[in-house]
Amino acid sequence: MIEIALWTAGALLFIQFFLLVYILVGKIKFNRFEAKVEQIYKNILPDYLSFISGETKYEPRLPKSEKLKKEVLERLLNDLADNTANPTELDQIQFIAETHLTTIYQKSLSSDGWAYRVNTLYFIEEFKMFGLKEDVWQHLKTLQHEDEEYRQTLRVLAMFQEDRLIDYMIRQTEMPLGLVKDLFRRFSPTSFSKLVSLLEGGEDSVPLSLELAFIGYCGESGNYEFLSLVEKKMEDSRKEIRLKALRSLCEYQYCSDKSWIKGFFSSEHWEERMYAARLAGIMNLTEYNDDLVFLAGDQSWWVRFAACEAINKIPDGEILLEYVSTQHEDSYARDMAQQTLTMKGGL
Amino acid sequence: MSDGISIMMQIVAIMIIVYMIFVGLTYVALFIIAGPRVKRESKLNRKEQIEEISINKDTFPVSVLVPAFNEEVGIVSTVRSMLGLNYPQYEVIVIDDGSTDTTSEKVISQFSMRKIDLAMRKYVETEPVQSAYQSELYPHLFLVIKNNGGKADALNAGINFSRYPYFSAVDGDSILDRDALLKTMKPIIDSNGQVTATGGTVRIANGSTIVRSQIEKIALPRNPVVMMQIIEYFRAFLIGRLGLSRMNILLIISGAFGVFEKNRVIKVGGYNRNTVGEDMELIVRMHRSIKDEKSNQRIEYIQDPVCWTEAPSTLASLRSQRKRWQRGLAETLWTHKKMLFNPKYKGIGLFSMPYYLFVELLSSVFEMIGYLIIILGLTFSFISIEIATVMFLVTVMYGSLLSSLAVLLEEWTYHKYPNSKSVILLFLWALTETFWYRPMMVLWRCEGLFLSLRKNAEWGNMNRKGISNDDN
Repeated sequence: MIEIALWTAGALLFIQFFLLVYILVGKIKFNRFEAKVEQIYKNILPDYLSFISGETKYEPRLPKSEKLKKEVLERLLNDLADNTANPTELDQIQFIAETHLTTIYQKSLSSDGWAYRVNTLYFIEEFKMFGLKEDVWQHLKTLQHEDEEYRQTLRVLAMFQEDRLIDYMIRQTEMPLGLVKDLFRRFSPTSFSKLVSLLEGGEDSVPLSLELAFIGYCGESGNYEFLSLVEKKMEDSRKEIRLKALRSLCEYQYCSDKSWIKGFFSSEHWEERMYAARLAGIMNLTEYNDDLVFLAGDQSWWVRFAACEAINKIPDGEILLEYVSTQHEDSYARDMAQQTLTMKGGL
Repeated sequence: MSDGISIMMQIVAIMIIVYMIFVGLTYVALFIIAGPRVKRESKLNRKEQIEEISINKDTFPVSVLVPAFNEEVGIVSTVRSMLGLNYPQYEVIVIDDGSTDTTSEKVISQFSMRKIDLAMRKYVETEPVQSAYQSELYPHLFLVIKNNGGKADALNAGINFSRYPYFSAVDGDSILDRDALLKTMKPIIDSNGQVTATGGTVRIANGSTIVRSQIEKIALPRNPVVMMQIIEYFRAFLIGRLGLSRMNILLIISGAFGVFEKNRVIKVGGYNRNTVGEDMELIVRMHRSIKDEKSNQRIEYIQDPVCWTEAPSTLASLRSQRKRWQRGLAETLWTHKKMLFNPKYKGIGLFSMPYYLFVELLSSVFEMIGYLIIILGLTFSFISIEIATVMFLVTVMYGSLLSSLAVLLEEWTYHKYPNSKSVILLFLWALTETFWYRPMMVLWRCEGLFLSLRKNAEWGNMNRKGISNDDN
């Protein structure tokens, strides 16, 4: 028995020793590679800055090793892209990336390493490598899981204004709302209009998340072209659509027919009363002062909060809040008014 | 008679050996589960990964709750670290749980706090709130001063005060990575709310250089007690928690840092004020409520090191901490004993709860018996030297191999320690664990088990020195 134990202990000790060597070798290799990349990056940066800004015509020489070249270029172009808004320079970054990285990225997209593929997709978007549009579309078809790789692939395709993506989105019933909005933010006005016409044409078959994302995005982007569409959604029979429309109008900070808001003050749903109060405050609608004072004593804390915040926003709101804080019949309303008077900033 | 005792001892010794091998294999199984995920994400570009949500208007706002009791040494640097977070919309709420030192005064003077009137909600019952303040310099920083009621009570008061749909609970002695909230909220945002709570890896800051409340240079401490805790944290977080999280049966999100969906926490009644293990107890109740509702929500753990904390550097404070942890674990398992081996709770009842009971809680008792058998058995010749040697070897290998695997996972994830010397030091210290550190832990954890019979929630006392260079 002791012999078996000794052998087992010896084997485990060997495994540990092997692990230590494996980690050390990996660490040394990694540190050396990092140092080399850093060195080349520092040397090459000034020349590349001149090349990208058009001061010189000749591109600096890059390392021959594909691995080194990829690493240095990614850091370089990523940093430069993050620090310029000049269209000519961004075009030049795109040109350099497409010249040197296209083949490498085509290989990476079909590599076994999940992290490599995801990183590649990040950089394809960052460097706007339109030449890889078809590769990325084909890549989407190979994906099995709805993870970060899937989400980033869709983001890249949206950035490419890929026509087939809109049809793809319409077919997806379970696409998360946040992701759909991510994609909308990347769409050009032409792509977005195309999507809107599809949404209008087949309202029954449009996935709910797409509809919600559309309403939300309109307000977020302040696109007045679609304001009437959003306002129409305030009459929708579904509560979540109405709520999204009210929230969107808060972001627009506008509603073409103020009388619509009035109806929501007495809604049975506290969320609708809250958004209506918020919108009245944002739009400085003094004609609804009495309604807001009434809502300051609502049974929901959130409605009371929104009502007092709204009163605070309208002209002479502070005087009205002082009144609410001392004279309102509801003690919760008085407390909330007092909080609003002493606390800075709302939601 | 003595033959009988000897045989009995031999049988117990063999049982202990089998138990140790079983525990070791459980950890190896968890490593096998956790390893591929760690390896898969090891080369992922973390900066690009969170770039999208850092500017996204749909990134859910978060309330950061910092419960504090007599944290005058570290509270200012902790708050500064919170104010430096990279996140689109958040508020920081410091809850002073009736401190007897100058915790509140320090916050009020350092951040120009002004008194505000409160229209408090009471989602959860707490001790009375005395007053609240808002910073004039940072309008999203608040201080709530309340009567003493324990950490859980302070967190509940923070939940009542908070305005956002998600909250993050952060210990008053912790320092967060600038992107901690983004990284921890990412699974929640990506899953469209299907993930109801997340936690990240907590790392020990002792030895590292902290400037302006941010970790500037990571290094190992000289203190062996802290060094061993670093190895322990690797093992617990990178093997244990990641492995359990992969199976959606994780029962602990560290009290040092975690993010929670407020509605779910309110639904289960907030933090339990009657246990010292409020962080674990809450997660168990959340799992229970998810399973009872047959909901698809899950609790996730991310491998990113997002939170840095000061580890106890003296044996006395370490002992106090471990007794508290063990007591918390025992209380939680006792409170939810009906879930144990209950098929209704699937993996939680059939694997996770038994794992925490037999591996995390009772291992100290088994090991204690093991040590006693070795010492007494050899002294009074009850057991053969062979059995004692086997037991000893199994114990040494069990601890050090797992520690080595944890160091490997650390290298795969973030290789935060920059030089090879650090790796060698970690390995060498891991080998010494069985000879001094583990017996102490076993003793203190057994003490904690006995303490769990006595009930009253209290704050742990660690005699902090402060980990930031700009604490004072």
